[in-house]
Amino acid sequence: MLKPNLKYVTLIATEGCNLSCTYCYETNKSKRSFDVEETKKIIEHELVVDDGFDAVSFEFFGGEPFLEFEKIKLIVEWFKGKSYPKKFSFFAGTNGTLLDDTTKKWLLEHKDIFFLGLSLDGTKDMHDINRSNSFDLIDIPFFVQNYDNLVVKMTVSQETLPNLYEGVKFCHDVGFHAIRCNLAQGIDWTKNDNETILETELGKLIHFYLENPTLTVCSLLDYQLQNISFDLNGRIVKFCGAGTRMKVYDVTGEEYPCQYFLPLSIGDKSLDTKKIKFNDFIEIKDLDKMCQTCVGVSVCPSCYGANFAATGNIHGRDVSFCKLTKTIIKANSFFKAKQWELGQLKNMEKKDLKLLLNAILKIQSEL
Amino acid sequence: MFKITIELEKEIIDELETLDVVSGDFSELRFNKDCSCSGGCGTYAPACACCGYQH
Repeated sequence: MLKPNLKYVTLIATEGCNLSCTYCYETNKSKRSFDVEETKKIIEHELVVDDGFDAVSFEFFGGEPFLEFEKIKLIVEWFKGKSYPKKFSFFAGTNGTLLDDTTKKWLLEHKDIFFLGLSLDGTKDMHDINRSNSFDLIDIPFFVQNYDNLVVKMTVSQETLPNLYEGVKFCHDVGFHAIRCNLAQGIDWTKNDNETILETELGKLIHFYLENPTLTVCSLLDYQLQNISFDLNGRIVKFCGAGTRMKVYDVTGEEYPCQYFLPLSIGDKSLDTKKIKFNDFIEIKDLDKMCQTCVGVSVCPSCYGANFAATGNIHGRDVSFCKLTKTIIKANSFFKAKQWELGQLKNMEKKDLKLLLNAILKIQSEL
Repeated sequence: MFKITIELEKEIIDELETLDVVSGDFSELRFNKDCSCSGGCGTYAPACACCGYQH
């Protein structure tokens, strides 16, 4: 398994997709796809360049990357077995709708070097609402049976929020363990009574996980609250790897900080992203005023790309999203407190436990 | 909603008093347990492409 000293290089295989998901932030899709020989050169460069990293995870992204499966095959087969100064592996996040028997056979033959992630938005009804009625096109048993640690990405829209609990439970019921569940970025969350609905659904999820303590908790209730207890002298750690340990090459071979900054996602605004300097730390004084005093700032899932698309500033956060995030952070603190009360955190190291309990009290009193 | 009871709060305070004082630093924070965005960036490579944590 690769070590943390790892960089992530996303390769946009195609700007096209066979679905039209309701929350998709890629608003400039086209039929353009990457060039095999140019992509090989990019991969070679990333594997030999002296940049302090000792491993690379290359991700094929889209659109739907499996629209360009033949090209992906040529690239992976070209690199398989070759030796470079950095270790490497390949990955593709897929909507799972284009995997025929030949593709599946190839994937299983390359499981040692090529990993998969699946977008699945919950039950059939939830998934179909968000993702172009595509549920029945996914061979869920193939993913469950062949990929032990497969990550399911369950994106929640306003339409599926009322069924959040049901969707997460469904993913557990069919056999997935790692459920990365998040609210869709870049959509308007101000409508309806989202906060109340979210509270209700999180309440059900908390009850479910307390009753089933052996399950791996979905990411929505697995915030790293300990981080709130760290004193980092007026700084926070940048929330994601955009522009630091993560980069994206679009179909023309141009480099960007992450896929949200691509012309594919934000059109002409992407030209301005070249001027943005990303560092591992962010000075709290550079954040929005409302964030500077927020107890949740060091665990807030702020998406710099979504911020930039909405406000032209990577730190300019969406207030409607902020309210929901605070609800999630509060729910996390309540859940962890109950887990501790019920003796479900007995394996936690004392140091970690102290940081966590401190954070719980802070959140409970300040948020 | 999600407010813990006064009794539970007091239990937590009591427990904190029994634990040694600790502090954390950046090196511990960064790869704490899981990807910090939990797949929110849309890449969700194993574990997630955004923060560099790998299971």
